[in-house]
Amino acid sequence: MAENEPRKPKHLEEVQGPDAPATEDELARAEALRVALDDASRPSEDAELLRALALAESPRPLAEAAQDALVARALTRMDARKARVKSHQRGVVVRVTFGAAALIAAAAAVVLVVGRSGNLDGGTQPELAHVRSTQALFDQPFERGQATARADRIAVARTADLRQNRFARWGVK
Amino acid sequence: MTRFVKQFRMHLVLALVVLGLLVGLACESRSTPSPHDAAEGPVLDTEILAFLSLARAGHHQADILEGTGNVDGALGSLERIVNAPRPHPGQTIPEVEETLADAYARMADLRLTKGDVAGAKKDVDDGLTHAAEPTYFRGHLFTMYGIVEQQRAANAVDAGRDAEAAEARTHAVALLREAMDIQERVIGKVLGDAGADR
Amino acid sequence: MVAAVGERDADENRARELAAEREQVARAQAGDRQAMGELLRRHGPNLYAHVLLPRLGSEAAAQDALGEVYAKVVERLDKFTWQGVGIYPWLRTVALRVALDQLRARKRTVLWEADALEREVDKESTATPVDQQLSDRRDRETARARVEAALGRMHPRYARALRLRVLEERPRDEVAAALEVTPATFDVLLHRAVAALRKALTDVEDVGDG
Repeated sequence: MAENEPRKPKHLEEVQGPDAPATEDELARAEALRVALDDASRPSEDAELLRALALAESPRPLAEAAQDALVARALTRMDARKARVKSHQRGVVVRVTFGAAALIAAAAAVVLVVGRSGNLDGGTQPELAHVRSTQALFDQPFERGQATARADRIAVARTADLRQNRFARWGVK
Repeated sequence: MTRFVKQFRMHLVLALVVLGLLVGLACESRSTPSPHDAAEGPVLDTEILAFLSLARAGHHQADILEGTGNVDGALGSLERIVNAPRPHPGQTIPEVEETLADAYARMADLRLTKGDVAGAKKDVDDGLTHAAEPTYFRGHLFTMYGIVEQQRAANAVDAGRDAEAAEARTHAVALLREAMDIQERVIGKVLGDAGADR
Repeated sequence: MVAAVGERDADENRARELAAEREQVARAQAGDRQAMGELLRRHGPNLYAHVLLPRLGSEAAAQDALGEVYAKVVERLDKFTWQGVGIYPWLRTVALRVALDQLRARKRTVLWEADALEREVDKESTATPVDQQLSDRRDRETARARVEAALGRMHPRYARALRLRVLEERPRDEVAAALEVTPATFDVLLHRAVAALRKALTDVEDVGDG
């Protein structure tokens, strides 16, 4: 759109014009935005929106440490899923073996489910990340001089887990 | 009626015995938590993250100071990590333990650059108290321990203490072998899991 | 003639890549950890940069979403049936759904409204799947078209302020000079431009695929 063709004004800012004198409130908000743009740790929805605009236009690539941590976490889930499948198969064998009475079979199912998953409601509790070894984040023995990179990877991975826990508690699947 | 009561009592006793066995089975599955068990321990929270972030910042600060030749300053940054208040005191948090183990390993490395072999050994010993499980963290500490003993051997040679040098070299070889054993156990576990369902 | 030969070579390479990916997917579905890791590493960065980041508007949110995408891939890969264009279209659909869930949960203005993304997800279910390169190009064009549409619906002075300061990432003083105002006045202009941007985003029509 050419600069000498302003759109018809529709709300207050446009009635006033982009260069109209600022109110005290606008000056304060403008200053808050300026500070937030310079310092990403300052919370500001306006600054977040501007960063979103920039990222839509020119997305930044995913940091390698973050990618490594996310892949490692996914592979850990894969390991846990395999373990759950095996555990379920063992549970079926136990019930068949002790199938002499319906009460024993039902009791066996309840005890096994509670014992292995801590869950009586069939998995409707949100699946939250618990503390655990960070070994799964690393594929190779450690080298000297790489402690900072390891600390970065651990912090990134667990930060992602913490956010995931928040989403899970909000009911986002 | 009597026969029914007898049969009921027999079935009840059988059910209780079986239940007792199964409860024991279920408890056993949780009685030996491994560092790789995804469902043990408290839920991850901001207190734990704060510690991990502090550790991360400490390492970066140490990088900067080490880069300018300020080894004591770098050690100070790492000491801040190991002396920081622990999240959830009284509970074992694997991430915290492993972070401490790695910080001690780095401290040992830095002390060696100053020629402080005794201090480096103390750091390794302290680090090993936080890395009891066979992980790369424990393997790395054993590697550092082996390097510390190598340096002790070299110092002993320079000082003409041949017997001590020989003893330190032997110890270094044993420690580095232990480090390799630990790494191989970790690698073997990973490969075993990958091929398990082929 | 040379162009035709080049094209044929490219087609043969592509066919080989697809065959290799098909085998890798099969191994991952059978529980091969390494194969799964390779699939995620190959496609994750593109899903992040082209699908999640533009729609969620923040690196932290996009990383969270990518983690969730990986989790869903691990849980559901056994339900994937191989298509001639590879696994990327399926991964992209998973990523769009995760992005939609997170947009609904966040309730903040970003470039995509949840409703617009929901329409996009619905379209995906009936669209012909395309390969990753074409898909990524379309996603980039869609994102840029959204940006241009929003800038086109506001006063040009606001649009210029946003372009120079945000899209071109020029320093504040330089942009103020370009707009012939003081830096403090530019701060107010930028603040007003953000308000105009919020309004423009709610007015933007659904920008379809290219």
